Amino acid sequence: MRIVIKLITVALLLVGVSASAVDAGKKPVQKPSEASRARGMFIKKTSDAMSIVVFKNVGGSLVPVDPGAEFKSGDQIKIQFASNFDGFVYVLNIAPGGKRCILFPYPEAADNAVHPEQRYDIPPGGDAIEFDQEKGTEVLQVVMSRDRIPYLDAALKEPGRCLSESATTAAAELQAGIVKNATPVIPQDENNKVRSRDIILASGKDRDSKGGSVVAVPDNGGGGKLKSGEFAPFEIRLKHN
Amino acid sequence: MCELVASSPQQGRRDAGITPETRALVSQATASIGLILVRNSFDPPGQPARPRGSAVVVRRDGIVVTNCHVITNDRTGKLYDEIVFSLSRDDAISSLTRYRVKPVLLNREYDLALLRVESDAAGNVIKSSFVFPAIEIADVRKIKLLDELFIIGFPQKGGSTVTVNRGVVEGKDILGNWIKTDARVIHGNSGGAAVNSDGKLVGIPTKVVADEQPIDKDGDGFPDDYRRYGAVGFLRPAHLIGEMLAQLTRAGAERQITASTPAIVEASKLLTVRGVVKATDGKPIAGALIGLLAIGEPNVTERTLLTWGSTNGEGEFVLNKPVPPGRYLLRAKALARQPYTSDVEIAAGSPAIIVRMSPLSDR
Repeated sequence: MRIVIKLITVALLLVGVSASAVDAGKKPVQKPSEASRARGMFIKKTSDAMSIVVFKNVGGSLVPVDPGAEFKSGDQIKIQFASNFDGFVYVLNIAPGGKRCILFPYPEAADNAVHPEQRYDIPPGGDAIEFDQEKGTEVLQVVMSRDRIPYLDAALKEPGRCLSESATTAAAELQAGIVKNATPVIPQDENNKVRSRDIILASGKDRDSKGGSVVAVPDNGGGGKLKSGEFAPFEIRLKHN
Repeated sequence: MCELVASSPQQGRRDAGITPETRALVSQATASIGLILVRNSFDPPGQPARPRGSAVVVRRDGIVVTNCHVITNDRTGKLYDEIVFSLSRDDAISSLTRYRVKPVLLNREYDLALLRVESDAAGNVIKSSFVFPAIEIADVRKIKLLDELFIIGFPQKGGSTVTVNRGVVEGKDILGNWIKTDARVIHGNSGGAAVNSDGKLVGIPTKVVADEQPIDKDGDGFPDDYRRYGAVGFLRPAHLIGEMLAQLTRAGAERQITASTPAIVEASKLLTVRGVVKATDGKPIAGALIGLLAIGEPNVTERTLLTWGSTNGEGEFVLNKPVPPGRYLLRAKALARQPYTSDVEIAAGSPAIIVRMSPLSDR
């Protein structure tokens, strides 16, 4: 995928989004009770959570689409998300060839700190992400975290904002996730307390009728809030044929 | 091939002094520079090895860099049969510091060679725990015009002790992989070191191009003398050495399991490593980073990491640099997964590697 600059009429048709194609790791949620519980946690902020919608440019308008739909070369999409917590969000694109590049924060953004009640567009403004000629599964890897993630921050400074393009950054990531003097957060080592938490993924309309997929950290063991050093990753898989 | 083609009288030195810190760091760097002595097997018995150029210790386990032309016989074009490396000392070269070295990697395009210390001068094997005084390699990208340089080596006109002189960076030829300097570079400096004011290796003095004009004093059409107008010293930038060390590590991994591997690696049959990373439940893991290291490497660094790549949405990966057949250490990391380490055999025709990663919660 590549980011193209194209003015798009922002007409967000807010309809429900199926999350059936979204891989949330161990719990691809389909049970209605669990989905409504997750949506409830997002809205009531009882748990750190995100709402994500994938929009497709259809005739100049942005229309929410099922991420499980098939995309073609030239299709343009935009991703909108909101969080209900103060923290940090990273969105990576894993191309069909395996190349990993950071989509959010985008170059123009000074920060990737996220705050409740705000919506964030990827890419911002009139830009869109266009499917190029490289066919296969495009993975959007979303990482929610209470703190900055040093090795991802380091990748922001690399050419093209891609991970492990040089032996130095690849070695740092493989060794301990430490880049220079940064505190290790991810990947995980025996001695630090970082851990991922299971994610509940809810599909369909939100209670506030704003639409989208809600991802929530369950409130088991930690009250649903990401602690310092914790992160919660999940993936959206877009098929490009 | 690059050779020292002429000597270069040092330009008038600038008046600026050297700080005590720079003096200390450059002095410290001299401990990594030594003299290369060579000998042919057909030389008369008892004829000692003769000085030929300089060399620099670039790895603590006894890997030394010099120029190809320093260890190559000009007449035959073949490598000398016996090559001795004598580490720098403040006093005269002593037999106590001499080591027998063997070429292990040649890059004739850049006129650079890596040598490995095989034994001391008496033929005794060096203990693996012995640490050689390796020089630190500078980030050549940061070098700017007129940065200060110090040439360290054993010029033939300098006697048997290490000789240091000073100059500046006069130019960078990025396409040609050269750094140009006005520092004095003469015969014997080849293969030595050019260090910056931090004592870090910037380049290897490799050749000098002098501007000499013939003088026909008696008008007979034949030059009677030459007038020298100046010279430019050419250094091979140190980043080339880093690349060769990585190449050597890859070749070294091969040699650990293949006794028939030739001692000098100039070309090898390389294999592209492919595989798939899955979770224990069989689902593909996207975005996992996979790397190969030589067996026994405890740490992943830019020098020890031989090849690497990350997985796509199907968990498939293709590592970015082909490697020789052999046994390697594979490491993998992925978000929310336990780190993975395992030995793998890379051979022609072997199936794709399958890596299974456990979730962190399985700890």
